[in-house]
Amino acid sequence: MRYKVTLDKPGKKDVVVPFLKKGETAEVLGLVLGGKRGDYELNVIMEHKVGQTKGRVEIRGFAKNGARVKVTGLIKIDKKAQEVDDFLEMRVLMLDDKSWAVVEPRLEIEANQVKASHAATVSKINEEELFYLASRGIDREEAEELIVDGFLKDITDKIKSNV
Amino acid sequence: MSSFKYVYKSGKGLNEKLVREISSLKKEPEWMLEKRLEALKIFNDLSLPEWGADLTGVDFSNIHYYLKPLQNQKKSWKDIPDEVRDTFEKIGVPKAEREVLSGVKAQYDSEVIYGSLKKSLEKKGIVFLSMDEGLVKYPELVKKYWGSVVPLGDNKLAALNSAVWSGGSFVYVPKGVDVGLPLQAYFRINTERAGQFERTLIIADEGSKVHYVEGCSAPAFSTGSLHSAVVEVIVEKKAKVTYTTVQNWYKNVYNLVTKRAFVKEEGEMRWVDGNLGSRTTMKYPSCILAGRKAKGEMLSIAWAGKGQHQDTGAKMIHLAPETTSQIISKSVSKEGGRASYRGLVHINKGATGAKAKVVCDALILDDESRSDTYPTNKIFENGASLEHEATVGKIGEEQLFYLMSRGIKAEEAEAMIVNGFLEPIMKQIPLEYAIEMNKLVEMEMEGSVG
Repeated sequence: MRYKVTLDKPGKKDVVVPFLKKGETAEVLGLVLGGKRGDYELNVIMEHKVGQTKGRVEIRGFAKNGARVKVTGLIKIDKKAQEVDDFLEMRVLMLDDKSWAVVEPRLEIEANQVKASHAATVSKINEEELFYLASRGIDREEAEELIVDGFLKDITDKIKSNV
Repeated sequence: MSSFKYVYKSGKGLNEKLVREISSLKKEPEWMLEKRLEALKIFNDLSLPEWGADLTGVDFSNIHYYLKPLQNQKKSWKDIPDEVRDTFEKIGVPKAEREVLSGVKAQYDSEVIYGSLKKSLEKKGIVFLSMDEGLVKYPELVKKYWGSVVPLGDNKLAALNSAVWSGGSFVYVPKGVDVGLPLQAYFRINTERAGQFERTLIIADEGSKVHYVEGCSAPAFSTGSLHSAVVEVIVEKKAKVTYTTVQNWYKNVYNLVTKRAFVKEEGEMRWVDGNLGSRTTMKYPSCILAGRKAKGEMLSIAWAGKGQHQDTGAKMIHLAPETTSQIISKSVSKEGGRASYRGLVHINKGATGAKAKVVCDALILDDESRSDTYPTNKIFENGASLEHEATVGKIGEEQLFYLMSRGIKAEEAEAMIVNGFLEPIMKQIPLEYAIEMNKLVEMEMEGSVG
């Protein structure tokens, strides 16, 4: 199963993925395009109720023009759900000083034969990258756009493709 | 039976009369009594946190809040009653004092009963007193800083501590002085249904450096005790403070502690936190990084065995530009134990160039046990960066197989792997404690592999 979720205007979206059958695999791809003033809230829950299931969550987003981005993710593995493999990744770019980001990657693990991990980052655009592009005659605004596109590309490509 | 008699032992339960009694026994100034009474009101008004560990087993009406073992603090172990001295001998406090420490405080239930500080350090102006002595000898400093980092109403347990506090340490390190060897405080709860509420205030003046170590233990009782401390640390400009805790309370103690440091320009605060004992611990040492380039660090180990819930973590509050913080947390849960990491990184507006990193690793050793990770990362400044990563897993089969192929028994191999997993933090813990912790891991791992 592949779940795709894009939040391109203020609002709230919940994605709950229940794993009920052995061997089930699910992927969640999320984009949070926080380009306007307002609250953007994305909440993903991976509920492993049975074992031998595999999940992947990849969320990327940015916050700009007063956007307040909140991304919460939870990998929950029940006691009997052995041999689960799940990874939760959330990355947010902060593009101006009017915006903010809250990221809460959570794990609740009650089985021991599992692999569960997460990674989260909040960062700004690397000045060196901007400088490099500027040296090639690309102005700041355009450069920023290119960098953001590149940052989101992994997810946007996957969302577009129908694999 | 014990021949040892307490000088004063309060009945069970908490009320205004008891708070007045504690303050009057300690001959405190009026302002401190007022703080205590105000805190008591807040304690009664606040409810227990709805998040975190289950605290329904704490019966506030069934605890002895104040137990005074001796009339005065002693300067020589010879003056300590045999029974009390033996307790500390067994833990190895006097030996460590001779060999590896700058100074020692030993607290037995509610009061510090022994204290020492190397003469050479005293001459440099270093102050290492019990909090009670500190209040008598340095009333201005105490009045200025007491409750300034952890306010009375910070949370219900901090309010409780502020109302009935007794003992703890008062440390002042003058400008530019490096204390060298660690100062150590040892806390012992020795009575059934006892509450221990030590209060510690550490002030590291500009450019100074100090390492404070605390150890905690309690004997086996059938009923639970409550340990609820408040620790406040002031890290002045360019000062460096390390605060190490090795908590090995007996497995029916509730350990609910508030620890926080206020760090000024280019100051460095490092918490090293080992939580091995207790039934339930809730503790999230914090750094308020208030000055430019202030640095906060947390290295923590949590061990959750049978019947234990370690709900621990850290908070890093970035208020100024170029502040940096790092949280490294490792936990092991086994035999139905639960280890939860709970943390906050808050990067405030204006903290440009702030950097924070959080790494949480957890090992779950059997299918009875549980591990949770509850991080909150709030970024209100765009010129800042945060990285967070966490993993939960089991002991690698390959590692185990490799060690066993070298003739190491499964049990031993597993202990080696767990020790290796904890090692990066163990390295930061003073040697005698690190040895104790290694032994503990080995002991706890005995018979664990089926």
